[in-house]
Amino acid sequence: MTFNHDNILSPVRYKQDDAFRKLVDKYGEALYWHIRRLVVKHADAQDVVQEVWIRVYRSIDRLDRKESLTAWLYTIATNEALRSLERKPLDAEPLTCGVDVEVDDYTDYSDLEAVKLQQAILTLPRKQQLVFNLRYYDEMDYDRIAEILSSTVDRVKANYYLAKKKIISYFTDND
Amino acid sequence: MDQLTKIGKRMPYKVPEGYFDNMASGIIESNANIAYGFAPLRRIALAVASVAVVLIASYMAFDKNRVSSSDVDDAFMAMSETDRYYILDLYQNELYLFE
Repeated sequence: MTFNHDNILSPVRYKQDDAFRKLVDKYGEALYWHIRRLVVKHADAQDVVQEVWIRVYRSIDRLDRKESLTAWLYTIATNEALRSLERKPLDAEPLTCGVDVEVDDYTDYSDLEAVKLQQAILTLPRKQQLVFNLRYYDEMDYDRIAEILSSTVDRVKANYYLAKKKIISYFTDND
Repeated sequence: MDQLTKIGKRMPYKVPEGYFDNMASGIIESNANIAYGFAPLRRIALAVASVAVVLIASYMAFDKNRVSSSDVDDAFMAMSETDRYYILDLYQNELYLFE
């Protein structure tokens, strides 16, 4: 079965659990990882994921048929993750305090390179973090990213270029 | 760029075993609770209140001298906003209530 606006959205409009389940099955994992890369801890990601799906459940009726379902879901997920980060104290940003500090049972600190990449991403300004993650991990095109972040394609491209440059510098500086 | 190529999409993050398998069920269950948004005791209290409103409405239909529609309105308005929305939601298809 292929997923498109019609076979997902028409039943979802009636908030049928079955259709909602299809939506979660299709997008749940990708949205979780998008959120996790931003909030870092599994427990925080789990809370944000819950909030995201509550919002989706409540507002699916308001989704415009012309709007991209993926972009709409990622926008909600991004906004919720950012809201969660705003509520956290500034010194609570995990992973930036060193690779030998265990902040979460669900982080594998043995993979030093992967930890370092995440640390590098977390040092970026939020907009660059988002653009980098959506492009690098979710392999989204610039138009889609611009739609999610309410930005322009040119700005998204510039942010991606800057993010990559800073990440490479981070690796060089912390060799 | 070599570092990025070498690491690829590898991440240090993990999830509890079976997390994604149970994700949809967990979310649907939580959403259902939130959609109805009431604890069991509160549901019982609301059910009782709903029955009371229905009884008053029925009684009014038989004895218009003793209970007026404004009594029902007053009783309804005396309930909390949440309770009123719940009742309206519950009986939204019962048109006779609004006649």
